[in-house]
Amino acid sequence: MPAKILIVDDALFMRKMLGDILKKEGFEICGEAENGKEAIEKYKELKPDLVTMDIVMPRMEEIDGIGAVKEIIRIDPNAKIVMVSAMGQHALVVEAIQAGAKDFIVKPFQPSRVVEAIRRVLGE
Amino acid sequence: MNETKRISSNQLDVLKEVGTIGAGRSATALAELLNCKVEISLPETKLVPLESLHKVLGNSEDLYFVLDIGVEGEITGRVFFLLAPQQAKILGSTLLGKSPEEADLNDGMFLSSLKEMVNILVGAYMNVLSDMTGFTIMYTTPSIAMDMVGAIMDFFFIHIAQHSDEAIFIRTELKVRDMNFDGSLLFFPDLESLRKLFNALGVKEGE
Repeated sequence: MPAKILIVDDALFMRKMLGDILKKEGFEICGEAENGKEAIEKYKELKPDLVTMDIVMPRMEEIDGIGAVKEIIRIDPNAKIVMVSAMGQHALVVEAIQAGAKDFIVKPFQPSRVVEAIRRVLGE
Repeated sequence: MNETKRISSNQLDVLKEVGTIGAGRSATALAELLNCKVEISLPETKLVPLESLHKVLGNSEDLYFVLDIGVEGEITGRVFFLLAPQQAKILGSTLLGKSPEEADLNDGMFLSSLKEMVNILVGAYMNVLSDMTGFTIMYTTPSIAMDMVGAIMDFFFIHIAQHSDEAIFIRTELKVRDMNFDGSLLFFPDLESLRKLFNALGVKEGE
């Protein structure tokens, strides 16, 4: 069975780009979310094997990507989350990893970098 | 009035350095995103008082795509990224693997591709500023609109003037697949944030 991936990004374009890369590698995109709150709801509903998570979310949404990581890890301490964000600042990378993310990919990225990180985190 | 605020040469040098490194990193990011070579000119970087901005933006009827991003965290303010509609069409359609003629300025996917591109470009600049100052700088998802310079200036006076009176203005020319583009980035740090930035960059008022 292919691993189920939940893609969280506010940008439709980026969700499609990530989805295309991962589908080509045989992963199943079980769902998409465009903000932190939706990510938490979809995680509970879909129980994905891995989540890709952006940090920047719409202003009106109070839960950003790191906040969503903390909440998902609280629900499921074994959750596998890979950050995919243009904000590659050291302090944010450290905060995301401390919150429980397993890797941090800075946008833009080479497709191979994403696939390699996801396979490694899934233990494939 | 001179369009550039009188700041010390040390402060201007530091700003230019931020602009140059930021432009380099954003070109690298764009090259990776578009999967092609991107050349850049040495960017034009200056600190421009709000009331003089129209002089660097062009005629009041000139039309731009404006992407508006809030800056939060240890540094607060607003960033605006301006791109001419025809150039936005070419960049957006390149990202989507389409021809510029196929680009629909009202299409959700087209607007999303533009927003994501600007998110990544602004991210490159903010990451440079963060590296150089040690501040963690967060920013919000861009919102997008198309408007004329006159209306953009009105917006600045209504929504920006109460927090900030000058912009760090960075204009870079890019060459992508033999086509020339120029994008303007306007960063309005709040008054206290501008002081913090100069202090962290090692140049205080009057130095």
